[in-house]
Amino acid sequence: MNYLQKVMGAAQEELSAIRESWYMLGFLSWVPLIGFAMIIAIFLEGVPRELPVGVVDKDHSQFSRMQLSRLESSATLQIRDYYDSVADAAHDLSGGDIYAIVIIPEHFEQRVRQGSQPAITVMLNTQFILMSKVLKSAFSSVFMESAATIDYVTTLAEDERPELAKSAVMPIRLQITPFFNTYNNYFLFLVSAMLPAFWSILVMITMVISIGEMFKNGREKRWLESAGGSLSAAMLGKMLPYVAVQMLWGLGLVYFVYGVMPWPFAGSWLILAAAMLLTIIIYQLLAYGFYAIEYKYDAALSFTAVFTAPAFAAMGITFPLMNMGDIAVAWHDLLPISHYIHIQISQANYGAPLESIGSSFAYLALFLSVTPLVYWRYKSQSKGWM
Amino acid sequence: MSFLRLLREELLAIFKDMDLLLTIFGGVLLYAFLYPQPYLKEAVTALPVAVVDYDKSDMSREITFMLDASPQIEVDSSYLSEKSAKEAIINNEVSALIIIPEHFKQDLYLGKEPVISVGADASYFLIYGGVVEATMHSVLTESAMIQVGDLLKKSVPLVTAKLQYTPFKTEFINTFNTTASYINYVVPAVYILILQQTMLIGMGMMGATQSQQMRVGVGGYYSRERVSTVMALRFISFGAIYFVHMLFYFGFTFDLFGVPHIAKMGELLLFGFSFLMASLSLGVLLGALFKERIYPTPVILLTSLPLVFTAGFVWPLESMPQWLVWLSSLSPSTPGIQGFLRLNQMGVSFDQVIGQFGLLWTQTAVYSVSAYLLLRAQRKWYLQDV
Repeated sequence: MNYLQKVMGAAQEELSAIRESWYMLGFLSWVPLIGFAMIIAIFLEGVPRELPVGVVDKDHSQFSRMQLSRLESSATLQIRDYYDSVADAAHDLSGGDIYAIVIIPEHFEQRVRQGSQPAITVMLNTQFILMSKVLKSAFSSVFMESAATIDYVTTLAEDERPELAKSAVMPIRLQITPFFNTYNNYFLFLVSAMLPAFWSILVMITMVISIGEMFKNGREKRWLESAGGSLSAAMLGKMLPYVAVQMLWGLGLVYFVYGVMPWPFAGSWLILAAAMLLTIIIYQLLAYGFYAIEYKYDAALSFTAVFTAPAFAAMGITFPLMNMGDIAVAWHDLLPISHYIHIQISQANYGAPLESIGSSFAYLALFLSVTPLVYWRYKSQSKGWM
Repeated sequence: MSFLRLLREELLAIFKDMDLLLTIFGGVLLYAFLYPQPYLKEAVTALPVAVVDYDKSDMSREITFMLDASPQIEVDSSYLSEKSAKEAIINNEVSALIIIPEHFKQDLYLGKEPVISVGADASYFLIYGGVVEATMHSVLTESAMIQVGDLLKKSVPLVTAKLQYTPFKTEFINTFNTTASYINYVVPAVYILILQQTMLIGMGMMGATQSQQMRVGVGGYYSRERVSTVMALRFISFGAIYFVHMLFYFGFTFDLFGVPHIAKMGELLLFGFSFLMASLSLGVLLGALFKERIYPTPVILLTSLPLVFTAGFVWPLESMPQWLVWLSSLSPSTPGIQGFLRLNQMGVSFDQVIGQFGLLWTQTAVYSVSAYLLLRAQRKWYLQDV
């Protein structure tokens, strides 16, 4: 029996263990499927639409109604209610029934005609940061467009009171180009990172379950024998079926985001696959390591849960890494998936050359240095198995 | 046996179980401090931005200076061309680039509306938003206001001024979390979920352990006493522990991280009690459903990410498929997060969370009755077996 045969022997043994366990089969098939499908379903709309807002129109003029009908035509929001007073509207704003209040002041039309630049006030519920951001830009663009179409005011500015025009002029234009994710789409922003975060939790917990179930069912002797007595071959062989399945899931997810959905993938799939493979192996090593802390199944599960649960928060996607404190950065660095996600995003967006993602790969490779320690923990135990 | 002696046995069963303690004390304490870490700076500051100044006039230097003065960005003027600045983005040296074109000052005087270009990586929304906001503010407000007054007197044709005149303005007012702080945004909601998830894991493990023991014929107070008594013990033990946890989260750690809490104490306690009751009921039910103590941790762990994002504080419920909204309302964390945010962050009166309050008590009723029936059926089943 050469080494490769020993590894394959252990892989065979693992496959038969999986076949006998509905629990492990579930964690490789329908559990990830449901999890991924839910995350995708939450954000599938990509850009929030028809967010409910309230209106307080104190002017009741033809002009104020014109502004409101322009608002209605925006896809981002819908006017849910008209209120007589700001207090009534504020009640619903804090109750979360509406995300914003639009207040059109008294004598609005008249003051526009006079050229005294009245203001429409928009109150946003900034507790909901994402919704208020989306609404703010919708309101800005609707009102800006609307203001631009009012011609009698410009005549007025030219003929009668030019100083008004001067006070508000902005002679520099600003051109804003989003690089990458040019669609301003939340699906791409959140889901492309959330799916790998969820996937990383699965990769690790599934491996812990595989190790734990084996010891629980007293199959460790069979496992070692299936690899011809070689512990390293047994450990590698046990990882192998999961490496294959998790690669399929991982690549499938990335393909879904950048292949099925209309977002471009600029980089190399080979680099991405390499990063993914490395990430899987590291999480599996950590799973071996976590189990060997106490050689206890449920303790290993608890450690894994505590370790992996906050994967998404520490990735630096929703909140930038460069603004995190030292503890948070350390925590980010300790999670292999953080380094993977930087490789994925830079590959997808601009096909970053290897040298610019080298540091992420180096971080990942650094995790491999736990291998001897993990191996030694099992080696010292394995004598008792035979 | 007296109720107090039973309670002592129940508490002993909890405090002798190290793996359970790791989750319901270790996890709760660790996350209380760890989870807010990424967001400690609250908002984006000092993002490195490359400014490429092709004009090199006093005016372009002044704009660069103003950009540097804005809190969100820190200017790096060492990049001399657009190409090198773009490479710097790819290499993660800067997060955005701003280009001031050649003849900027000259064009401005001629009324030609020179264009300042801003490019940023929109894959990281917060970085992108911060850069855009800072540039808009510096360039549009500051520069235009200071410079334009005398520019106009000299040479800018009034036609330009006319085109840019705004007949009315839009003013935005932020209500609640007015600084759009990420810590106030994420932490209050995620804390609720941490409380629920660790409690469910703990109660799931405990219930499963005891039914495992009953199955193999090892009895205890949990098999001798009436089902209703055992349930009452579980409610009291975990309820007391988590009541303390809740006070610790909402009192101590909120203060520590400067999260505002504006609810009236009595209302907060009443709502908190309802949330605890619903979670406790679900916990007892899960304890009866899980056959082995190794199942709760992986299952609960995997529900966390979907539960955060279906609670409606990040992504609007209006933009989610209805079946997901329904599914998420099975979890006490969903009405819990919604209610606590409204009471404690947005300061509503209690009648505005009556919907969430009602849902929590519906969950309490449904889950505890189901748990009772299930536990009784199991009891009969196991005792027959023995």
